[in-house]
Amino acid sequence: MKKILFTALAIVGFAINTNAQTSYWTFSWPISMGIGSTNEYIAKTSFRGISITGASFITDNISIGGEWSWEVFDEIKRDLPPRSITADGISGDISGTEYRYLNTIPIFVNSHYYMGKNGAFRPYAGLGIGTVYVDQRTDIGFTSIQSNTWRFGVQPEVGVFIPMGLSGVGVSLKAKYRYATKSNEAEALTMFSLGIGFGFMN
Amino acid sequence: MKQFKKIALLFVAAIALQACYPGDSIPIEDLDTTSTFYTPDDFTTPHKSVAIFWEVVQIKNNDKDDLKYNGEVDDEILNTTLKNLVDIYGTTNVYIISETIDPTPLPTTNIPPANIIIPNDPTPDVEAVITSNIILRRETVGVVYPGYPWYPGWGGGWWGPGWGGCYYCGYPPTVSYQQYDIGSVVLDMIDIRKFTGGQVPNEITPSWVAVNRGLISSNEAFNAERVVGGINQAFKQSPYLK
Repeated sequence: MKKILFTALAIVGFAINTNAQTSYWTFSWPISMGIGSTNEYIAKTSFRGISITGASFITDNISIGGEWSWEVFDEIKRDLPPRSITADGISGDISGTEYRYLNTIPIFVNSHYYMGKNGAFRPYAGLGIGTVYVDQRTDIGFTSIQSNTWRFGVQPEVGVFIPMGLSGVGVSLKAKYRYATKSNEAEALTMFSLGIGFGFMN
Repeated sequence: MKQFKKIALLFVAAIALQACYPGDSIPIEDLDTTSTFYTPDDFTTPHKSVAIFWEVVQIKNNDKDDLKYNGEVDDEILNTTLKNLVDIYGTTNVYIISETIDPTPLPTTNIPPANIIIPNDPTPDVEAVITSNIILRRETVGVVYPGYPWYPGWGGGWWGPGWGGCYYCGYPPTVSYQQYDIGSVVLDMIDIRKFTGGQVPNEITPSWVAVNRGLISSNEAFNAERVVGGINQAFKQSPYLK
């Protein structure tokens, strides 16, 4: 997984450094919802997170770049069935209120196709690929069950950049679907995320 | 570009304000847990009858660090356990082992008067015993039964040959090893069918252990409610007790 991370960072760095013509940076606030097993684990929508992207245009319409995000999900679950546990080789069950937390930190290299011209309203669509760090923790009383894993991930994305004036600053809106493979300790991560923030295209 | 830097700084501040594990103040009842452990082999053949010792044993160090407790929730511990046992085994198959013929606290679930056993009574037909404990000391790595003060006196009574010897004459036996938090209420079920021919092991592994973590707070009424809920949950999540 470290190789994927290194390669992704290298590609992003290369893309941003080799094309000084037009770059596009965004800082967004993600609003995220789990899907499937992720939603079963935490159904509550996440309003905590940040997302930073940087890209360079290799043609008038195609960019190559990268993304770093952080989404924090949390939910309190009561009246759950007991969980099976093993302590010192003895099997048993534990029940209690569960405080569940899910931190997702993707590091993606991405490529987007943009419509329109620089300085104008620019819708886009694209795909990100890379690694996702998933930190999943369940607290039951003073007992914690935690898994931290780096996983392979992909992320289709659509969005739009709405310029405001001639400064290159504008509004960035985006919608993303993210999938990260399952690990030995946890189910696959699937989530949908809306992002609103500022963009700078120059 | 200045605008861009301001925005970037704003986002750096936002990063700093993030928390991996956000949590506001956690209500004390959210920290309560009910854990149950069991030895499957001991439940291959169901127990026909059980007895509950009508006393909550206080596990303490007798020093200033002990949690102050004067039996405030003994009634709830014993009577909630008794009710669950009667629900599982039936009224006539549950016994109370009491120091006196008038158990204190008063049992709130009816069982036949003959099922209240005192030291001079003959040996009842019981296959398992339930003990109740409350953890009052700060650090309890293992529960070592301090021995019930009245056991030795019972050695010549029904706690005698009919039971395969004097089980607690060699007390304190170590009955279980666990990390218990202060304030926990612990129930142990010991299968006495295993003790045959007067052989009493030095270490007794309980057939079933229920640990209700940290049920004692400064609010007495609240403690009672949580004790009842915790013990009911322990039986609910142990369907092999039958």
